[in-house]
Amino acid sequence: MQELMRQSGVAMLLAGLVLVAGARGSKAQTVDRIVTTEGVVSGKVTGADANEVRVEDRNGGTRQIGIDRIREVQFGGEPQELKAARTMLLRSRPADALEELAKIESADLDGAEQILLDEVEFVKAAATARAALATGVDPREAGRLVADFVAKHPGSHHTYDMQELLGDLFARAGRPDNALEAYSQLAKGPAAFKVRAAAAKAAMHLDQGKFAEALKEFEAATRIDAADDAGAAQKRGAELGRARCLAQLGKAEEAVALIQGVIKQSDPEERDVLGIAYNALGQAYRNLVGRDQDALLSFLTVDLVYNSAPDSHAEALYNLVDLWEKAANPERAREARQALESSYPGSQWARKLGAAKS
Amino acid sequence: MVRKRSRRSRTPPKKPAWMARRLLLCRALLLTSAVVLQALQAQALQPQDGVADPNSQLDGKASRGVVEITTNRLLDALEEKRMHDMVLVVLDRAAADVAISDGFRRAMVLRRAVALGALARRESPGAKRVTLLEEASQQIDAFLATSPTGDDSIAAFTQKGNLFVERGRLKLAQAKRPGEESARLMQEALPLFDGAISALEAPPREPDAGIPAPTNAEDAVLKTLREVDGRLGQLKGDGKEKGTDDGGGKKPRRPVKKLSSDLKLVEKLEERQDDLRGQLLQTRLLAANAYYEKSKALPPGSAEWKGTLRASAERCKRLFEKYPKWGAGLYARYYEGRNYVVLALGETAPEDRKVLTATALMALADVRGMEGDSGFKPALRAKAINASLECWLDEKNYEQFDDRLQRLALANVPADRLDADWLGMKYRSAVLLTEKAEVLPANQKGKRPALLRDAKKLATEVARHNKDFARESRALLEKLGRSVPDDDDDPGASFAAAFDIARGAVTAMQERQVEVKQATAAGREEEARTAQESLVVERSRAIEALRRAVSRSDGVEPESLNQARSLLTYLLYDAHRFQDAAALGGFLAERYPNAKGSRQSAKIAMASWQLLAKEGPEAWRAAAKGRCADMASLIMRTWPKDAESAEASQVAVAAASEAHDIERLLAIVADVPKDSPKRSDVLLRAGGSLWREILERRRLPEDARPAAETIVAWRTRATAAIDDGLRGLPSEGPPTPLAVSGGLARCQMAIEDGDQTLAASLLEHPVWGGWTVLNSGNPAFAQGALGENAAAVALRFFIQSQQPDKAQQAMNALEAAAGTGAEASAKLTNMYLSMGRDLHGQLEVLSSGDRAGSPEAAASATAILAGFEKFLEGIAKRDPKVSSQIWVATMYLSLGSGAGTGAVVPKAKSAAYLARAAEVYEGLLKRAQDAAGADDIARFVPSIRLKLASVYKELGRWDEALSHMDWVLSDPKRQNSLDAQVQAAEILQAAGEKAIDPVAAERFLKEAIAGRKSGGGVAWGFGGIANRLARQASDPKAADARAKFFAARLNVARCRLARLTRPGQDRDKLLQMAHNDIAMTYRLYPDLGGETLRGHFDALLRQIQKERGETAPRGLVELDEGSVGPAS
Repeated sequence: MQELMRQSGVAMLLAGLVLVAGARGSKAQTVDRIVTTEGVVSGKVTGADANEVRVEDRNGGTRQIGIDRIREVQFGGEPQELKAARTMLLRSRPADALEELAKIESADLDGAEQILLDEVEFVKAAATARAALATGVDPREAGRLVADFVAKHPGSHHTYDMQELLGDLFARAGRPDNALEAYSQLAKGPAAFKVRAAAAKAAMHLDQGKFAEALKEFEAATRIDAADDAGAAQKRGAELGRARCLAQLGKAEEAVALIQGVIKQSDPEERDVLGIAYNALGQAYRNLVGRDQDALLSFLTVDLVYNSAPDSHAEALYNLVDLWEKAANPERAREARQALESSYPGSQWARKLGAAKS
Repeated sequence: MVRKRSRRSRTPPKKPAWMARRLLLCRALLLTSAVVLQALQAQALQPQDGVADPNSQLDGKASRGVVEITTNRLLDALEEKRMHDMVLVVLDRAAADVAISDGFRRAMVLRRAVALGALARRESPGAKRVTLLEEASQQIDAFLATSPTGDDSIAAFTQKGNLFVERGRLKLAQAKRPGEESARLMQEALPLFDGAISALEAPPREPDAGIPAPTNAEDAVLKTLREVDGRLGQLKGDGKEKGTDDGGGKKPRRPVKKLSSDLKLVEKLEERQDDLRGQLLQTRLLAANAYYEKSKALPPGSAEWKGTLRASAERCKRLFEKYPKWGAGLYARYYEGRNYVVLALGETAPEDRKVLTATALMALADVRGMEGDSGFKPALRAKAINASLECWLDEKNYEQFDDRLQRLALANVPADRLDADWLGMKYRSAVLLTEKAEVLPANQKGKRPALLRDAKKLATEVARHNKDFARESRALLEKLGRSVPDDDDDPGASFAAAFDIARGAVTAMQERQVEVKQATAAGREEEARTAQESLVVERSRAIEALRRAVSRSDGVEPESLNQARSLLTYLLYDAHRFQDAAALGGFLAERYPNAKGSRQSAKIAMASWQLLAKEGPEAWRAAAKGRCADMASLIMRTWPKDAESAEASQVAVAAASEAHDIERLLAIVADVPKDSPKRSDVLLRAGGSLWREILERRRLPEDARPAAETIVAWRTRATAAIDDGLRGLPSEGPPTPLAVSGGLARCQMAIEDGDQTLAASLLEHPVWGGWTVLNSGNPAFAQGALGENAAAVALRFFIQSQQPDKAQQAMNALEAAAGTGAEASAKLTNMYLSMGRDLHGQLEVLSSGDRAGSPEAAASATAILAGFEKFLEGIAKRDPKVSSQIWVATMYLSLGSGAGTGAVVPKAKSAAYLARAAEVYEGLLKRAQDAAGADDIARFVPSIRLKLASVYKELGRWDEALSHMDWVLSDPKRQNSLDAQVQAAEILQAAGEKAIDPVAAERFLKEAIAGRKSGGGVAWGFGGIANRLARQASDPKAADARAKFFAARLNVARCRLARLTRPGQDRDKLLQMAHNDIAMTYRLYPDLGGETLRGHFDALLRQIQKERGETAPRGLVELDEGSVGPAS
């Protein structure tokens, strides 16, 4: 569930920088590109704050782009490795992002503007945090990096996203009060961010096994007035979270119907969302007696069709190991296990499987 | 470096709809022979990625929902991963989805057909494969009924043709098996091949005739191709694009001057045109091959046979002439030559034979002469050389086999590529070289050694490979003066080599088996013995070779490795190495259930455990039983819907019943798949066993009996299982013992529930009702355990429902079922006792649970008892037979001795029943004293007296009870009856505990411990009983003796405590003695006979400790701490 939040969160997190075009480097494009939900805006990023990025176009006019519409900001002249690292981060592959960052030579950043150094710092902090959340390692080091970033860049357009990340890390560290405080900062953003904040709180309760409380929060998230595209996408994520809660609260039939509704409303190319939805569907079926085969098909759909998000894919593989065993097909169970262990060795799902095996 | 993601983690690239169907077509083509497939692969077709099919109707997501798109993507991925079983599951789900579009629903039928066909190929030739192929054919017909167009139509007709060919081949394979009606099966294969030809090939028509609505794959391709031609012609401005299907190869393209969008479209259409031409060639090659396959179903040499082979050859020739440079064209040329070889070898007229041979060799020369070692060429060339060699050997024409061909024959070929054609080429080359060496002219004798060396080399290679032509090669080597080198001990031998040796040994072993059978049948014992010895040697050789193969399996495909394991499992079983066979078979079943041969191995493993449980070393038997049950469970879990599972369920139920494992029985019931073909059988078997277990548990002493609600829950599950099982039985046909037995069990339940309507309907069910089959005249149901059970249940029901006439008939049937032999009366008595116990159980049910003490329960009990009383009295009065009188008395005893039935049988009534029992028994004794009846009754007297002793004990008439026991124990033989001794001791104990006269009570208790001699009878007492059983107390196999020993020791201590209540006793001494009784037993036999008895010992010791004034009695813990008092 948190994965959906994170994915759109990362998109926002990577949104524009206040930057004066100039000697940022000489290896890539020379203009800045703002990738939005509607298309690409090219020009110079002239300023930004938590809520918007300002771009000067070729004609000298300035456009203000709301933070909730931005998917990614690419800087003219940024090192290719930085761009690749950000792309990895966007694709929920934080370990790969860190590998890419490590390839940046110090010479690449000689004379670079502060904004690029900040961007490197941001990607490093965000990727470290994502990796910690995905692998379950001690979140303190990551928390320190994120908290430092927030403290050093209070006016950054990354503020909301980093607050959310901070909240997730606090939640993982077992400090729910701090997490709630961080999420409340996120709720100060545009409508879609308010939905994200509520859903993040709910996801924390869900992870803690407080299903009734989580359900309440998810329901609250779906009631927030956020009718734009970004808000609608967040709400679909909240609906899926609601379904997970219902399944855990013995209302798996209701959960199945809810998830099927979300799936029907989705675009077939929203592969990450569909991956999360089919995982939720599989989980709901697992809570129903005699529906293991439906669960198997749901997770198989993620494994074979909607496998672009690593965490979703790992979750599906984890479930398939057990379901193939139950279906008396140990060979396929072994294949799923090998795929999980070789493709996502550090994931929480691989660890969970390892723990179950031992 | 960026970490690479696994292949699995990537979403399959999006394909255009026509590409998806193109893939489907390719998968359909997989059904055809490997040879044809190779040809198709060889013709260098170029799939056209990213080109939209102009005929596609399914493109465009706008018209389809996300669920349908997802389903489509999932099906594509599953097909790509060859998970055809899951394809079928997805299709089933999708079929039930009302939101699925009509177009998709139609496409699903074709997908289903392809999946079924693919699954069929995974099955070994047999009934299941036939069924799957037939289902696939039905699906194809259903799809074609929707008049598909374009690629759908091409794929469907191609699939249809291939399915016909597959089915025809299966018939031919079956015809070759010994004992089959070969002629009939070949006749049945013919229409299948004709169907294949019709599905693949267009009927003859004029060259310029239009293409009608397609009814075959060729027309389907042509129609689509002409449409593409038409559109290309329009775009190029001349209105038409000619001659696309009769040119061969890619056409030179005319330059087009158009807009860039038009140019792109032209480019795509031209690519599509090439693709369709390739499909046309494939289709025609398949049709030509279908003719060849058909010829195999015809009598060789017949006119029709010749005509069919020529038809195939002519089609191949035309294809080669059109596509001489394409791989498929070259394959066609080879097929043409091969067909003429077959025709030539079947021709008896020398001149005609010569002409045909020449034609064949001419066709084959084009392929034989092909240069190059890439792709398909070596394999195709080997085929052509092999076919040519047949001709040369036939004509004794050795000179055509030149140095080049000899080098090609001698070339090393990887073992996995050595198919029948390669091996044939090598073997025939060896023969040809040998023959050539023999006829060398005198001036060339020097070449002979080299020729023979090469011949030996070739023959050795084929023999070592041990597949096709291995035997012939061995014979050739023997002729050449040297046997096949034995590489059994070669440590460097590969998996493949070792496996080949094993297969060769198995073949030899099978031949020896046939020889043994034939020699035995003909009475040639010596010959049979020799063949048997050879068989054992070959089997050992095969086992050793397989062990070597398995140990050299690094890098070997799991499929091959598991095949070796499966074969080894069988051989180990055949060699009576059951432990090994069970272990290996179990491994395969557990780890590789989907491997070929795993089911068979699982069955072997189960059979091995069964045999070990029955005949294995004594110490292993119990463990083997457990493993057998585990194996059965595994089979049921792994192949729940297959026949194997049904067999396994029998074993599993039997094992669970034997182990009295109710939980396991419940699990079996819960796990039977709803669509298992043997669901009814499993449910009836397991449900019946559950019911028997419940009856047993209910008879346990209260402290060992499960909680009432637990029993009720079990009973509910048993009822549901049997009901479900009975519902699933066919409404017609002969009854099975299992069905009858299940019906009887359910009837007993209904009787217990007081549901007389249901009980009657079950008992008199027209097919499997117990009463129905009992009266059917079929001895299988009237005698034996089933007949006895049916009669007993019927008797009980008719008595309770007050149907005296039928009850009398049932009683007669029961007596008839018991037979007339020496053991008949004992058997009958046991049956009566069993019935009494059931009745007792029924009354106990009424007196327990929520209904206990209710007016309804009392009324039910009264009605039941009234029915029995009436019937018993009737019998007592009108039927003087001893057996009848004993039954009456025994039933009264059962009814009267109702511990636990007090809530429904009033005490006064119980006493009356006991008195009536005593009266009838005494009457029988009196008759025994009468000279006329003595012979008839004499043999029953001891058992009657024992029963009377029981009755008087229940009535507290101790002296009478003991006098009967004294009489019984006055006979030296009967004195050794442990049951009688225990009964006597128990009567003495009860008398001591309950007698009012203190002196008599004291005496009885002492006698209960130390025994008594009275009236000629010798009773051992509990002490004596324990002493006599002490040697068996540590023997786990003597369960009954052990139980009696510990019970006796316990009762000794109890009797001592009972004496405490009598005045004038030395209290401390008695307590010490009782304490010592327990302490000694504990020191010598620490397990104290198991948990239950240990609990009794502990409780009794606590009582003693309490009597001794201990404030916190510790029971057996005290003994563990070593403070066991003086005795220690």
